[in-house]
Amino acid sequence: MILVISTCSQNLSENEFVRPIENLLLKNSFDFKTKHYSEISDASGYDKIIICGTALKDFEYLKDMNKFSWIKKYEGKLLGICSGVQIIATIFGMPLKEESQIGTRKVNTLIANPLMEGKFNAYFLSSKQPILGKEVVPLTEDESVIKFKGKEFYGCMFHPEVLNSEIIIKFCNL
Amino acid sequence: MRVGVLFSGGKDSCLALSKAMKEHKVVCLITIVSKNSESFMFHTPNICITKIQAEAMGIPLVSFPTEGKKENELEDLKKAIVEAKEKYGIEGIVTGSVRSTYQSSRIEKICKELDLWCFNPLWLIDEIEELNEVKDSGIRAIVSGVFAFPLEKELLGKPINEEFIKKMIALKEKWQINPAGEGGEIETTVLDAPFFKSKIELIDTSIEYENYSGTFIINKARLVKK
Repeated sequence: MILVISTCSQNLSENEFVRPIENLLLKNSFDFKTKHYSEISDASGYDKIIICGTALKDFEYLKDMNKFSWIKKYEGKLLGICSGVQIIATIFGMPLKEESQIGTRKVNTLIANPLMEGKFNAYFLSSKQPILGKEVVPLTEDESVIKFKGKEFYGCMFHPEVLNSEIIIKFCNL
Repeated sequence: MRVGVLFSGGKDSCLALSKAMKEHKVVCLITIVSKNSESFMFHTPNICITKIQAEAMGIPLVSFPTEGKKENELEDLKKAIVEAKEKYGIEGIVTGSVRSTYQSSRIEKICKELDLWCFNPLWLIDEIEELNEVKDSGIRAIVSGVFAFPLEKELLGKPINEEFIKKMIALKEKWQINPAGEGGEIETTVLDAPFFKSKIELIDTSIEYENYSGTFIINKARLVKK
């Protein structure tokens, strides 16, 4: 079972950042449940988790980092998208820097990995980036996709649901 | 939150508006009237009807003209949003963007510069799901423009109903036409919706159509009691 986690503080944003991922999982017949991060204390019952992004001006989740302490103990596969990456990075002690990325640009795969390959266009919508530490390996030249060492945790700073839905499908099939 | 809705008068902006109304206070509509028929951002047939639609809803309209030159029109959009912020105290913008990263990234950048929330409640919605949602939510829209093969003249002025949706599904299967017209193949105009206090009656219309490209022109319309 896959858990889809909303990081949106506004219901209207869920149409934009959560529903497209739910629709993708439905279309591809994956079993999933969706919860808001505030409802989760233990995620051990799920073998895969996707932490979705949220609006550019939404940072409520950063005030609630205590709600994500389960991430450190989680042993399944985790994909963080945009704010999801910021959350996982913060939990592992990496600071965030102010840096806006809005729009479409090319991303080039650096290391062979199960989620993506080659060069592709990706849609970015973020205003904070993690300052990467030794805990992660960049999977792309621009460090927009990272893997956490020793774990099946991935972080994707662009929104794969927009132009690269195959990344989400591949993650769900891991 | 006080929000302004980017409003073209078509089904997408009306559906986005109806979703915004359930969560936030819609304090104004913002319309950009482009003189450039090739505009990527704003061209819509019958854009002038937004004035009547706003009146029907009882929501103030910020209408801003633009010559429609590529980057100038973004500056004009920014000016319109600034006006909405100053006049109506908006804290966020709602758009009817469905799939255009060109359009949405530009609006997101403007909102960031102006410290505003940006909501795109129709983002990546399935086209058929969207058409059904328009129909089921009581939004009464008609086809006001067709701009692709094999869209026929007969579609102009037709309502977005069950029959239209079936036809668009068939055209999608045969010709890969985007059934909701997201690629600019189809434009629509809304004449009534549950949140309209009065509805729009068309008094004088005409059709211009040539080589699978045409417009249903509303020359004269008025508001009538529902």
